[in-house]
Amino acid sequence: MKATVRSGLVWGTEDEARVSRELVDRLGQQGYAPEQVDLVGIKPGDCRACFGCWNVTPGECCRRDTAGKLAGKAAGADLIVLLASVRFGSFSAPVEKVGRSTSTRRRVPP
Amino acid sequence: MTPHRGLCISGSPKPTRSTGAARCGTWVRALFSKGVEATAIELKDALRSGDGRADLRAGFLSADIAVLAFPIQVDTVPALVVEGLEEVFAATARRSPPARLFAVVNSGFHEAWHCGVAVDVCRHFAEACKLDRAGSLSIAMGGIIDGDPVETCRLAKGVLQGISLAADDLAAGKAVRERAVQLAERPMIPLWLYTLVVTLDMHSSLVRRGTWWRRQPAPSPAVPPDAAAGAPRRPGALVSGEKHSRRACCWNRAQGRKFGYPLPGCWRCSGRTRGWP
Repeated sequence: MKATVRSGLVWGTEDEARVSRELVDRLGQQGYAPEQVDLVGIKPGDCRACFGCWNVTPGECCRRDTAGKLAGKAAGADLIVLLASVRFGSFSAPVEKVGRSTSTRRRVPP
Repeated sequence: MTPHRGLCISGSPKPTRSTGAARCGTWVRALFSKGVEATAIELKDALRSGDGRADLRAGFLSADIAVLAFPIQVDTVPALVVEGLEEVFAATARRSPPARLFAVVNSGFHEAWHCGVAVDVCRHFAEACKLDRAGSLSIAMGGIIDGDPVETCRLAKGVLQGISLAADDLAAGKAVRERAVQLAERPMIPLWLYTLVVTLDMHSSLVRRGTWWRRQPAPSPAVPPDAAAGAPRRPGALVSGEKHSRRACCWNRAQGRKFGYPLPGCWRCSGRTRGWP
């Protein structure tokens, strides 16, 4: 079973690293093959609210960059795990940009 | 404390025709008319360079009142705004006396309550930075304004009145009155009309771009008679009763081949046994 772990942990602390390691280990024990993606290192672009994913290229972001490719990988996974630091009650910026939920901005139209 | 300097920050990531930027311009003009010297900053430009970030921090430190205008994305603040807030977080914590923060949240939905989570995020930010909260305005039906100045939109009279009243209160150093919030939150047009206009606009846009046939059919709650009881439905599979589009189905499977993962077509095209486990 495929799992993709998308890490948007921005603070780089030892606690965050421990959580990430523990999660990957536990997923491995459950029979998943986790693929780790570091969203902070990728620096995805912002959603520009152009609705290209609705009108121009339905189902995919019209901006051809790494974030768009990540959306395709997520569709093939059995489990998607989003690790995010909480900033002022919201997700950290890298997670906001790429993959918060199945209705994330740069993934698919509703 | 009567504010003398204001900073209007637009957190919209749209490159053109941004409602958030249009509202920012309206706020600058409104605050100017009440005697507050206001400037505008767009986060998408400021965060691109070190100088822009330094200007943003300096602007926040020197302003007595900061108006943050942004749209919601996935029901919360956009990533751009989170980055901007992080940028000013450390700088503003040292400021004394604290500035006042006023949030103007814009949503494309009919109801203004969709902006609630974003307003809460701004509240947490204000608490973390020890800023005074001057309140917030939640505005719905952002698609009606669609990047034009708010003053030119005849349907947005209520929003303009709300902004004017709020600017009055902010310039006087008072908390924003409830009447301003109510005027801004009031729907500009009835729900049925807004839904109709948005749907027609979306479909006409699809037709103009030649992608109308690629739109995905809406899922139907009906269950096909041949599905085993309790069998999970595979993602992307149509169910009996849905309008079948062979082109959309083939597009679906072509996309799957392109991305390298199995994406099923509908049970009509790929056969009944393959559409269901």
